[in-house]
Formats: sequence, C-alpha cells, structure tokens
Amino acid sequence: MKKKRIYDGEILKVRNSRKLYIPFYLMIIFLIIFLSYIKFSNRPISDISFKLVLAFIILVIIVTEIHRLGNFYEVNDKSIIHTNGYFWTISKRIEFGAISDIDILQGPWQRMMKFGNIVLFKFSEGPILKNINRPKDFVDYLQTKMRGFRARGPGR
Amino acid sequence: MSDKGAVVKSRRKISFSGVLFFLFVLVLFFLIYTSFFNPDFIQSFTGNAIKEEIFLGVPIQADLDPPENIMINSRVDKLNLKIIGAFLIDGKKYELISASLVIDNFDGDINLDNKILILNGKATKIFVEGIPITGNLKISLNNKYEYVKLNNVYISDLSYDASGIVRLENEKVTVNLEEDKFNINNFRGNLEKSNNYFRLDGMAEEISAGMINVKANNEN
Repeated sequence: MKKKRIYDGEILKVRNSRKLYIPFYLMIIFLIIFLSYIKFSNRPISDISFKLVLAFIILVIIVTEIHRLGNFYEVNDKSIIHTNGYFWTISKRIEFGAISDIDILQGPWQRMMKFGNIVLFKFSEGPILKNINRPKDFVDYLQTKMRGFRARGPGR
Repeated sequence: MSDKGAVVKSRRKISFSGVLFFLFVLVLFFLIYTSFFNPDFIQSFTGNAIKEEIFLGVPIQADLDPPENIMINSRVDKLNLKIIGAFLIDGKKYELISASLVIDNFDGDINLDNKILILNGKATKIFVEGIPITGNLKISLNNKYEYVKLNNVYISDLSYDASGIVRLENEKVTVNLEEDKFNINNFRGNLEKSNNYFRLDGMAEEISAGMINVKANNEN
C-alpha cells in the first residue's frame, strides 16, 4: 500500500494477502523442480504421477483462491465492513466511533513477509482483520480516515 | 464442563493447511517411489486387470500369411525388432545399417505393413544391440523391418482374407484357411510378424475363421 493522499469518499477494499499462501506456492514450485529433475535425469515419470502432480497444483491454486475469497474488508469514511463467507455471507460494520484502539499482531513469518493481523479494540478486544498486507500502512490509512471522521463529527 | 453443568462440545475443525500438506507429502512420496524405486508399480495394477480380461477370452494360436496392414494403439510389455536403417530415440538419431532393438513398456502407436514399421510412442527401457538406454524415452521409427514380436499387445480389431492354420480353445478346434475370412476382436496376447510370417498367440473376445465363429460368452 503506497502512501498517498486520501480523499473523502474514497473506499479501500482489501482481501487476505496472498503472502499467506507462500508455503503452498513453494510446494508447487518444489514439485515442478523435482519433476524437471526426474525428467532430465532420464528417469521414468508415470502418467499417473504426472497427473497427480498436476491435480495437486490445480487443487492448491483453487483452494487458496477460494480461501482468499472468504474474507473481504472495506474501509469507507465512516466504518470498516468485514464480509465473511462464500454462499451465505455475514457483513459486520464497525463504526469508527466505536474503535478505541488498534493493535498489529505479527508472527515471525508474517514480519518477514510484511503482512499481519490487525485487532480493533472497542474498549475491549474486538474483531480481528486477518492477514492484511502491509498492516502498518493499513493502520495509518485507517487512522487518517478515523481522524477525518472525528473532525467531521459522527452525524455527517 | 462448566460449574452449571453445561456441556462444551469440542469441535474438530478441519485444517486445510494440514490436508494440503498431507496431500503434498502423498504426491511427493508417490512420485519418488514410482520414479526411483519401483517404475513398474503402476503396471502391476494394469497387469492384473489384463489377466482378468484374458481369462474371459477364447484362446487362439494362428499361423497365417501376413495381413497387408495392422494398426495398433496399445501398451506393449516388450517389443523385439530387427529393423533396417536409422532411427530416433529421445530425439537422438542412431545411424545403423540394421539393428536389433528390445523395447520395454512401450505405449503408443504401431503401424505395420508388409515392409515398413512405423512406431511412435514412449518406453521406459530400450536395448539397442544389447546396450540399454533407460528413462522416459520417446521413440520414433519409420523403417523397413525383418522381424517384429510384440509381447502382450492389445488389438481391437483385425480382419482380412487369410491363408493358414487357426487353432482355437487350446487346439480343440483347428481351422485351415485358404483365402478365407479371418476376423478377430479384442485380442490380447503375443504377435510375431516377418515379411512372410504372421503368428498370433493369446486370447480374444470374438473370432471368426472361415465358417467358424466363436465368442467368449459361448465358452461358459
């Protein structure tokens, strides 16, 4: 997320970061390299093995993309909306006025890959926005939006 | 369980990461096993299926004059060939005047006429004049040949006017053909062919030799 001027009425839409799935993408890359090694070392690759690898690659791509589609975050001038689910979805709106504090949680892998979870406090621990890309930039954006909201007043 | 006696159900949540990692290990293990330790592992399954198929067929041994053309698309356990001229294995050209080839685990197309053998497919092992080449090999031949033997080949249909002897059901029935109709469906077994010699030895679902017609179902 690049630092840029934030305009009123601007809506930011965010999904889970794909960096979350890097271990699975590494599995795909490993299988492709291993297949190439078998091929170039003139060892036999059975049709079933090749098809299994292909099926695994397709499965990983589909599963990760579907998983990513399950969570959707929207930041507008007044609130954050978290939409969760596939066929039946739940949308939770968190008004900026209700947010008392924001924490960023990052494990070692998340720090390395620059993504993490953001906890929104509503005077106690509240909803968690999971696996957001560049969480510090996201929180800065959120705080700018919240400042704008508070300056305008809740009714406007 | 809480003090008030409420039962807290432990929900077993499926971890997709765990499932995907398990599948990854499974695929990797299968790949390593079938490529490094037991390349015939998969064939051992198909081999059993083939045996069952043969059990239901009519036994046939036929020594006939060769048909003009045979087209086969099948997996063949072993091919023995004596061919004339250059040929390609895995993109590499072998410039030999004549060569004896043994091909293991061939899968692809075979086209045999009275002079030319056209062969396109893959094999796991090829012996060229006794020297082995292993791997997942692409083989391409378009050569004159002296002799061809295919072990455990499947032929869906072969029909021509033939001369020679056909022995059915372990020599219970012997038919002498002289330019008579010969037709065979769903044959699996061995095939030998040279310029003036053609031999089939295996089982078939349906055989017509002259006036004789035998189907696998008639056996029971």
